Amino acid sequence: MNRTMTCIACPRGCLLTVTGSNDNLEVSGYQCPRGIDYGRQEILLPLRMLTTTVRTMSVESPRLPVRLSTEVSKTRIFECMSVINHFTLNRSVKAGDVLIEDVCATGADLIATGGFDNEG
Amino acid sequence: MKRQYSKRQYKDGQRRCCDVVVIGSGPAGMAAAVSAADAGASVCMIEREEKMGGILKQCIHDGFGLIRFEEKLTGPEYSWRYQQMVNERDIDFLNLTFLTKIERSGKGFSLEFVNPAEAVISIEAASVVMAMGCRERTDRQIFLHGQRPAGIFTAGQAQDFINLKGFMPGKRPVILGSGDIGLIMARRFTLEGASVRGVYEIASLPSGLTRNVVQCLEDFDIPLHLNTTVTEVHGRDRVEAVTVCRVDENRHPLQDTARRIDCDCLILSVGLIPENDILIPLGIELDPVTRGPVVDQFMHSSCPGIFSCGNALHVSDLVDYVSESGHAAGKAAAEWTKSDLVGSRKLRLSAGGIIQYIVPQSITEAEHEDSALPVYFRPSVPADRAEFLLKQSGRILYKKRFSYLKPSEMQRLEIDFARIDPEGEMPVVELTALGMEADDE
Amino acid sequence: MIDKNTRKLKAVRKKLKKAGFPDVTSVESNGAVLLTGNLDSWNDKVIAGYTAAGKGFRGIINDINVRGCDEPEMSMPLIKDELLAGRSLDAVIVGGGVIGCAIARELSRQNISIAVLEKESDLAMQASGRNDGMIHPGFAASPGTKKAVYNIRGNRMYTKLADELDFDLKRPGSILLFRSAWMKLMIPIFKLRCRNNRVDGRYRAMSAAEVKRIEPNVTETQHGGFLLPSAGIVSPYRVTMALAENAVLNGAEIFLNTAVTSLSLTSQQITEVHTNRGTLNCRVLINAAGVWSDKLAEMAGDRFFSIHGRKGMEAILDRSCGPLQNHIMGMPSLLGNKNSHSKGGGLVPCVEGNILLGPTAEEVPEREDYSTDSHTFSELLGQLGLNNELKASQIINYYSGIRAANWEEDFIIEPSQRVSNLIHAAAIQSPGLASAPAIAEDVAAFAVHALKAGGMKVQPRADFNPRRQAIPCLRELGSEQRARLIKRDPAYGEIMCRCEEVSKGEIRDALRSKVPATTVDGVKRRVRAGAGRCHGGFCLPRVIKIMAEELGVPLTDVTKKGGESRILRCETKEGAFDEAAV
Repeated sequence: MNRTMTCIACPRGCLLTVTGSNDNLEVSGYQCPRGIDYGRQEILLPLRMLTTTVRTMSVESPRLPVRLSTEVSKTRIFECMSVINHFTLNRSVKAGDVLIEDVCATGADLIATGGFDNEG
Repeated sequence: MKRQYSKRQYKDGQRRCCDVVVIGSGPAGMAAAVSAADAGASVCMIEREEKMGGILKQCIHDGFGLIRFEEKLTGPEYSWRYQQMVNERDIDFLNLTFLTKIERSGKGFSLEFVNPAEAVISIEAASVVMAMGCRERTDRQIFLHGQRPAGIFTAGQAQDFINLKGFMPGKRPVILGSGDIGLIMARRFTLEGASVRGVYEIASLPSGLTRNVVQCLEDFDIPLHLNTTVTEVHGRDRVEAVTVCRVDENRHPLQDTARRIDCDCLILSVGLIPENDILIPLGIELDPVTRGPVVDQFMHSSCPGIFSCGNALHVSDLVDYVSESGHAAGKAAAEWTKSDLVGSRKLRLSAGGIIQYIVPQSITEAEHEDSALPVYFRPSVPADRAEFLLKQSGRILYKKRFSYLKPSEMQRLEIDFARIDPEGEMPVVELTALGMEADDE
Repeated sequence: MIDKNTRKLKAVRKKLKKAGFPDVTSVESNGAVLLTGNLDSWNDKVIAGYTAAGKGFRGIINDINVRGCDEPEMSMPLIKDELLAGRSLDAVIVGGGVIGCAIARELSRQNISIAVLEKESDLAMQASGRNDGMIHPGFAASPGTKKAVYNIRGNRMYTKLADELDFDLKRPGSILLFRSAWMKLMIPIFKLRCRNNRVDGRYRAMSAAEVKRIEPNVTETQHGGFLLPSAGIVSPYRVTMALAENAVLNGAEIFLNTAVTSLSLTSQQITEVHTNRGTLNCRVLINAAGVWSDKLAEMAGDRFFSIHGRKGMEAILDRSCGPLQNHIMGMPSLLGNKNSHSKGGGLVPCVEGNILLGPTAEEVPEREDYSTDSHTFSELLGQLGLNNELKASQIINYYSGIRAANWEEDFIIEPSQRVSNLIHAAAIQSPGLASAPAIAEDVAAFAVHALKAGGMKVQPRADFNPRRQAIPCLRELGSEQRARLIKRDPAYGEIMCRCEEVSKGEIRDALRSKVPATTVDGVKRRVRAGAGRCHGGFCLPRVIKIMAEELGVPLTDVTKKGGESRILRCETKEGAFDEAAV
């Protein structure tokens, strides 16, 4: 394993190099210890937040913004998107309400980030 | 059906009076209204759209509020927190209401608005907080040539279409400019099934945050081409392709590097311009760099009684700072109605070294309980290490070291302005890039 | 007669040879000179065309082939249907520019059936929508030309027309700035020309100090100027719309997306007009086809001129610049390029309050290529210097237009000499907008004459209404008037376009007017939604939503300017995934 990546732990943006095997990762190129953690995490289990929209039945607000309740593995993002894309909201919700539980068995729920009035 | 909300009932044609009018209900306006109300002012907040929140409504991505709420929120969630604060207070909110005129009237201002429910509304206010945000630079402002087909969008337009209206402006976009909205839209396009042909940036550094370059482009293998720009648009009716060119150090296109990239739309993320055009008749002084009003530490402009905050003041990269300036402006606007600071002396800050701009640009002599107030600045060039100094009459009043500064990341620090001698010389702020040898000092 | 023609032809050939074009063949055709042969550059073709002109023929047909340079065909509408099949109309006008629409309005005074056929998705899409809006004082055209005559007559007619048709007309006057002190010697010549052309107003010379007094921001390089107070400004596409709407009010019909593909003639008379929307019959055909007017003449077998494109670029400055200049200003170079036929452009204060910069002029083989380039743009920016306060950063938009130029450099306004029911209003470029009302008067008279000659009884329409009401422009109204309108219709109180303060009501009116907008650009041109500094950044999503509702179509069917110019591709989440994967 030999991968380079830009660290985003701070705005400095160090160019990290991660070498070694999963149980013995070597991170170099960092200027502060946060770079080590970031480099390891990005190899072992890179996590991302997914935010998107769902379809609604409303003409005025045809889409409602949503997010997952926790970050999920980067590799599962598109899988989650295809499930979310097939969902249509047909009831009133408020911000924080769960729309889909445990999306794609990732352990993350799909939650509304804004309110939606199905009558409006 | 659109609804109009106004908590108070006024008789038709009745002239309204309030202490503070806040123009705009985005993150800056909501914060200003809340702070002004908390400082005891009667507040009226005006919004031209139907709902509060401004641009946050369409910023469905996360990363908002890390400083303000110590949480990573999405735009709508951040907005919702502030909406609740507004709703808990006695703030009159007028939506679908558009400012058409602002004039001096005695010590305060007379403002005229139109809205569908009440037609023309006049409001008399002692002070006004301008929180109207910014607009995006267009293809015309970067002097893009070629044909003028459908399919050229600003990143904000694309964001509105995709996130709010649910429509794709195209499926094979080219993105010009690496501003944050452009990067974020590269990811949104990709998540919604489009294939982003590439992001082109004329500068040698991305203009958006590193985090967005990594998580919006690198995560999806979207190429970022630095020192490269779009020189021509092709397609009679609809965008069919663009010509891209590498540029030299003066940003002049190198014609022999021209290549044609097939695409079906062009998304522009090439800068934001604070919206202050309505203030020009008032003779307000604008900073030529920020394109927002010149303000003092209370966000008070050169026009007594007019306060400015958020992206209308200067374009911020974090919403937290937008709200912070809103709070400061709202509070000061409320206090302004009670005290009289007209006669107090304003000291202009002189900025030197590698400072691109600093806000506030001037300091007013005042007694205030806060000993330290925020100052925002951007460097004009990247610097690994730099020193920020505030000096007056040869004395150093404030000193701070920074590591890794770049123009795309705004810096914030707190300065105790009470240390400035109002009778003294013009205070000087200086930002100097430091060499490595200064390390051990 | 034959001898005379032979002599004239000899003179043409001699001139061409002298100019370095011995291989260009010239023969007489339909009273005109037909040029053929092969040349290596477009520029040579242009020089040859102008070289052959001015020897007493009706016109020049420049059919010289330029190696490696194809002149593009006319773009065609996408629609194909039978909307017009079997229709029979008294007068058919080809071309929905300001000339065609002015003729339609003039003819609608008579009790005849009228149709305007326009191939684009809206009126005024070509030269009429892409010019500086100037109502020229009539100074520039050479005395005795049709340009001079129609310009002066048209200029005078505009005052009444603006009142009847409710469009903005201002007469700021124009100042021809002197580039050098010796230009003062030209003053008597300028005055003589004004007298010969019968220019209106108290035209006069001004010293540099006088110019500075009325234009404080004028360049220091001026050496005085010549003031022409009768110069006016209008919005050229709004004038076109106003004329068309009034014509429609009086019974005329407008068919957009409708192109003439061929004509059928029987004994030198047009009987059938074939279009992409079916074949119709007409009694008289009016050629107001702009850059394609020579092709229409050819379809009728009456070609005696040829058109070439003269491209001009213009830029619009932010409305906040409006107060920086009062008059139209230009500083022409009298020693300019021999092959340049432009008046040199300048700075024009627009009726909407912006300042317009331009136009440039360049002869081009394309007649519909409206692209802009950085080279021409730099040339344009050179003219900014006439006003010390204007900066390139204040530019909010730029575009180009193409003038329908012929080689004789004069309007062709006459009944056909070959076809009994064809009238030409062709080769109309600057000052075409200023001349339009006068041209329309004469062309309408020719048409009525032709109809009567064909045995038709033509009488004035008893209920002709010369007036048309414009869509209210709320930002221009006082508070009380504005409040009254909003109370009557709350849609006027909902602002959609922030920069130009355009309400939902105004946008809706544009979509419901007598000649309704069907495109985003059509809305913009009628009520200025999206015409401001943010370029529709905020209002575009709102405008197309209103359009979809009003037109009863999905959002994805809304176009910028007709044809394939759809704004949006598809809905999000609708199989987008599967398609992108392919």
